[in-house]
Amino acid sequence: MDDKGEAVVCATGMRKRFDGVEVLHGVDLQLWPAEVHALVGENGAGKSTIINLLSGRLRPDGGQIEFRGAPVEFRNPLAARRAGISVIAQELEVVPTLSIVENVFLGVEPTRHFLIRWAEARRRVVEVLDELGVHATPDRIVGTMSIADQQLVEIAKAIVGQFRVLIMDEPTSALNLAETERLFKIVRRLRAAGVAILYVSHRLWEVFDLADRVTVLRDGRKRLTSEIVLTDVDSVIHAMLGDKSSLIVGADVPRREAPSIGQATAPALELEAVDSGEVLRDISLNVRPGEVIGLAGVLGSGRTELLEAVYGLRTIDKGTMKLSGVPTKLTEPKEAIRHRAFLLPEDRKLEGIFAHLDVHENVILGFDPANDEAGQPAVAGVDEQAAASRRRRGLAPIQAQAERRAFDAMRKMLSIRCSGPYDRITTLSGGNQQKALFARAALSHPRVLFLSEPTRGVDVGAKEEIYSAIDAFARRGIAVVVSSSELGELLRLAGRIYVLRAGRIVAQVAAETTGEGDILKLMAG
Amino acid sequence: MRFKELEVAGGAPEDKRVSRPIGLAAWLSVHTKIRRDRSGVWILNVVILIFLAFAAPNFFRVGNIEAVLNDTAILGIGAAGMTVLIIAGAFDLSVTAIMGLAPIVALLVAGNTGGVLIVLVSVMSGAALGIVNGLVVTRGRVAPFVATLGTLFVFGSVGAIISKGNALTVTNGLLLQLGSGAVLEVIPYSFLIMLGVCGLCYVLLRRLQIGRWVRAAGSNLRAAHVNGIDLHTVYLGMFVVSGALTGLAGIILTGYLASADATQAPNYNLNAIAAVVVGGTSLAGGEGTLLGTVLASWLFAVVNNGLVLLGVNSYWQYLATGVILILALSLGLLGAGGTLWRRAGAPTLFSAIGQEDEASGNAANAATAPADE
Amino acid sequence: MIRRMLAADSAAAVMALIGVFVIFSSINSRFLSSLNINGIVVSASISAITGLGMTLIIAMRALDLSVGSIMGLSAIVVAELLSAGEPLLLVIPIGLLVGVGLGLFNGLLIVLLRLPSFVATLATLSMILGMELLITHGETVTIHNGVLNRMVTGSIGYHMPAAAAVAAVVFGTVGLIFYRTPFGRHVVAIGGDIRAAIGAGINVTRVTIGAFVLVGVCAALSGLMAGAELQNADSTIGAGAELTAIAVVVVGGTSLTGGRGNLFGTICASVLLAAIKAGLNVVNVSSLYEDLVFGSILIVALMVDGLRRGTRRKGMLVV
Repeated sequence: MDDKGEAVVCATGMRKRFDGVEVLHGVDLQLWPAEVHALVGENGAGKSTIINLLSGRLRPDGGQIEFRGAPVEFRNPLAARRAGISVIAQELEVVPTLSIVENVFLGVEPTRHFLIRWAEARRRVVEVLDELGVHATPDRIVGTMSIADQQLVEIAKAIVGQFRVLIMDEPTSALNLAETERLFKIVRRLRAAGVAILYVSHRLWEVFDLADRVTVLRDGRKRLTSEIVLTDVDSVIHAMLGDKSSLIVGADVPRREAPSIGQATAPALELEAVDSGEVLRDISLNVRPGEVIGLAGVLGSGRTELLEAVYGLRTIDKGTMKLSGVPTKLTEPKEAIRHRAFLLPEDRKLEGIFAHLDVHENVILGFDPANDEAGQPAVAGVDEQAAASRRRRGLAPIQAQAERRAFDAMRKMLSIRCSGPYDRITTLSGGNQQKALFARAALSHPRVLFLSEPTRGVDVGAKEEIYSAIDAFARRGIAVVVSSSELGELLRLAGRIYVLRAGRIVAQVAAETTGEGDILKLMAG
Repeated sequence: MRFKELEVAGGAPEDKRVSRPIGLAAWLSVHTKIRRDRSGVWILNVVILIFLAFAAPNFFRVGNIEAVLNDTAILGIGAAGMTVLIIAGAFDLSVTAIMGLAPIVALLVAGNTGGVLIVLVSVMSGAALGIVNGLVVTRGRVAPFVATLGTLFVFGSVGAIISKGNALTVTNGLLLQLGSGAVLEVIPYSFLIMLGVCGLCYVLLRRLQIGRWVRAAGSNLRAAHVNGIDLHTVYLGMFVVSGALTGLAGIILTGYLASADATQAPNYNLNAIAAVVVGGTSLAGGEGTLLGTVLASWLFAVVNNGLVLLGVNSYWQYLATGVILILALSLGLLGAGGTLWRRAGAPTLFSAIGQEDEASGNAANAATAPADE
Repeated sequence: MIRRMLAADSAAAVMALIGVFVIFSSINSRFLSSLNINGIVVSASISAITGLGMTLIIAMRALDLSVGSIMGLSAIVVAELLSAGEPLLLVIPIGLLVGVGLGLFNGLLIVLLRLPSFVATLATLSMILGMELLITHGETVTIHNGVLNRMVTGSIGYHMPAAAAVAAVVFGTVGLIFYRTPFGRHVVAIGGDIRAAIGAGINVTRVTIGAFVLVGVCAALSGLMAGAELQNADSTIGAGAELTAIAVVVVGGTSLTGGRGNLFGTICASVLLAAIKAGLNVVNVSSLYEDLVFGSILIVALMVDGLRRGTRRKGMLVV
């Protein structure tokens, strides 16, 4: 507490509603100078919303925010920044084509007679970079720097701009150990200089290393605020997860049993000692037909990269990948689909949904009425035929009836709620959009299905329906790989869970015998 | 119940702030099926036709209408191909050159044979040039805008070279008929061809698999890639379509002018894009309207013709074209609860990646609605 | 700043330029004659000036399709005023003001009506062309002013063509603005990442309008220089110049996706284009081949650039 005894930021009763659904139910939060205050919670708990409210990106539907004792209403992020609240978001706000000094002084360039005083700017930047321990000349183009360094450029920008509050959102998700240490040193120095820091993170070991106080959110409410020294990891985990160990309302779902598939069946997917790029090392896993496995790991642990690598979006540099026992090299998603794999990406807006197409077209996209239910094994050799006929199929007329039948069947099976097949897909709720993508996946008759954050942005009711659909897929003999940051979901769906950390698989656990806390500990290390 | 709440149309909260619609464009969108942002071309057409009814009634003479329809067709056929390409998220700046080169090739190769063959060769030449465009884009990995800028120069040069800078005369009767003949003295063959072409394009976009891929690629290129759409086929194919249609438009123009000249369609590329844009198709891709393109081609033809009839200096037509372009795009936005005035936007180029909307918004107004975290 | 100018981006233009010089001069040494070089320099200077302005616009991730028309109109205005007997000292600034006004118009269209720059400048291209034709009635206006002509084709000292001096001044000025003023950096920032630019408090409206005014002035200057060289002005001045300008900027190494601008490369590419034209002339190849050569260079340069930048992007046709 500073000598005026006043919190820098005092937010009371914050509420926020999206599309009529309240996601924050009156949260209080205080940030004091010279303090690192950690904010933790699972996905959907409300952390991002709070960040957006404090930084002016969103306006609260209820409650009040006071800054340095006076109530404020930030009309936009710029106003918040000018007031002294800086945010280091997960998506960095730097211009990659400009140099460090240009970025740091963007908008606040020192000038004399309309010309920028580069010499002075450079000097200042060198000072700050030195303090931050970044080894780069001020003229280095930011886009050529590592994410860790780019982040520090953003921090440099904040420092030069003078700030009192720094909000950091999952800052270490893309950093390695050394870079994280470096960042922590800087955070500590900032704290000593009197800055109030709000540190949002999934990584509990970091929280306990760095923070002075911690607030835990769950389901849009504050569950715990405490000095770090007065609490421990288990209490925090308990506050995060609550008494129920899964997010499904009212569910006391029995854990998935170990698969009863004969050992003789070849795995649908098998990875052996796979390296990819600079992220993945020595990945080995397998999935059998009809089995559901889970991938757990914090942001940046390599889950996304792993799915990209098996789908042809990333090169596999070492090791082998086998689909149905056949070694395969994929160079693009098209080939993966031909080999009967299908990926539901984690960002459906970016990589899944075609906003200009209607629901039915989004679902029907890859559907080929000529393929029967069983589908053919796609082995090299049949490839040529497949390619030629595909081209022909491009010119093939749309078989409206067959498509309509398939769409209706999917709609029924997955309970997709829309007023008609010709609705614009953007009018569907998140859950229904996701179900539409599941339908698309189903219609491609996959043998391996990759799901990345399958219930992200999906309401609770639809979640359960999606889980049932996944169970149904598995029962039909499809091998399913679920990558998720919701542990309850993994435990509900998967029989075996692989835990990733820093690009490696550190553990393989059986869902039956493991709890969320255990997995969290493995993820956290 | 929760489901009902969630079923209600989503979209950014600010959509809900647009309350009572005012303005002609809004009225149209409410009382017809015309989308507000595509209503500009309809409004302008109606307004201009009414105006001409009073100011230059001889517009409606049969012979005049025939000429206007012919002009419409020559622009419209090429613009239809351009529409398809723009929906796919690409561009073709080389059409100006193809309009000259394809007919020249056709005349040189098949000039002494039947008219049908000449037309076919022109179309095929256009298609071949489209293949070149497509290859530069897909295999050469060059962005469509720049690639077709380059081929514009190259094709234009080739056209001038093989014709030695001269115009080739047309003597083939069928060709001349194609360019100037009409059914019942009023509906030119060219117009009928245009209608046929639009029909084919519609079938392509809506009734064939590839049409879906085209629209998907234009809507979200990345997603199209991730979901296994064969982008090479899509873009190669659409450039071929655009090239072929331009070859067709070119040979019709040649028939009309009774000569083939490498520069017989100056600024055709920009005119075609203008027609597509005025018609209501978005430069960002993913969706578009062939009907709008036809209406816009008609509009431009009408305006040019009208100016002549009114005895106005024909130079005013250039001004008119520009004004129409601006009006057509702004009319749809007027009175829409301030969408027009509220956010002064950043300049955007065009975008094959769909970043246009993001770039032209104001970060402060972007309502992020994360449903998680 | 020097370092920036010699960035690898413009390597293609520089190499092509060297190649062209070598090839043509070895076929016919008349290529290196002072008459020929002088012609190249004058022609390059005129197109480079517009190219420099266009480089800024493209760095901002926008386009100005009306530059050709602005060139024409300013040349015509200057010619008409000189014919009416106005003094040169007054006429030149007025010609440039034409560029300012038209640039302002473009900018306002874009920010007020939220039209994409492609569409807005497509419209003004047409409108300004109409104005040109209305003023000249389709005829050519002769310029009788010898001073003006010498300001473009004459020489300063013994060797420096006046046109090159003008281009050098423009290069210096635009370079200064681009690299050393906040405005210039904001232009690039907007093209690089508009979210970050807005987040940094940049007034996108003002910067946009300013950029279009700048390119308008450049185009006006190019136009009146072109008129001065030809000793007449009509609507053919600047016809098609916009696409040439874009091609020159792109070959010079500036990417259409914005965020970067290579002024030196633009100059090189302008010289390249002029050299190709002159070279073909010297070796007695029909001028019809100019566009073929330049277009091919454009395509090849971009394929190489794409390869250089995009080898890790597999199969994506991303811009």
